[in-house]
Amino acid sequence: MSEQRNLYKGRPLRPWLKLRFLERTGQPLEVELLADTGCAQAIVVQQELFERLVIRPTRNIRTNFGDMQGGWIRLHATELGLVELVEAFGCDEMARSAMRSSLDFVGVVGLPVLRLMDYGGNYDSFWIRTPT
Amino acid sequence: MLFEEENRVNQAAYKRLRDEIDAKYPKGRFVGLHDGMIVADAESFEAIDKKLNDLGFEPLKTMVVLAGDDMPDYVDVLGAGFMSGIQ
Repeated sequence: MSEQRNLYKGRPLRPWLKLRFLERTGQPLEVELLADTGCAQAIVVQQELFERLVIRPTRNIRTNFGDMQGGWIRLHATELGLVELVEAFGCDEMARSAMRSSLDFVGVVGLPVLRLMDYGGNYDSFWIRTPT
Repeated sequence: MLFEEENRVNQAAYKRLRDEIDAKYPKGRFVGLHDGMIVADAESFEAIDKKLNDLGFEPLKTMVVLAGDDMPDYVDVLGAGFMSGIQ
């Protein structure tokens, strides 16, 4: 069983994950993302990062954070067994919201990714792990 | 925004064609659009990626959607204490 467990971070404290993706060039890129079960989007990141990751565009959406450009990106967290094509979105406003808690966060990982694994938290940390 | 004009054309086409895509293709089928038209469909992303490449379309100028995608056009992103403009 593979697990990633992180102490909450930021101000205010937030759950978060470190995930690896493959840029369109194939270059791996590891980033820290605020984990949000209330987010219906798999991944939302800064527009500049989104444009490095996207391999094919998909539909855009409108949200309370503004318009988000959609695209398919490659999640490549092999140590967790999380190798998936996911529907991601670029939105500077939402990324900025995450960064207000911690400058380490470049965006948000939402429910569609979290539910690929078992996930949870306790008093001081948030974790995801390979489903049993 | 990458290839803004091409993306705008494809996004407008998707809005126009969404009901047709959902009616014509099984849920979860990957459908490719280019220059505002449906140009390919396939069972997997890898398959449609190959079809679109074989057709000679530049990747970022095409759009791949899922038939039966139930994500609405407008979505409220919700998270505890994580609302836009509220700290």
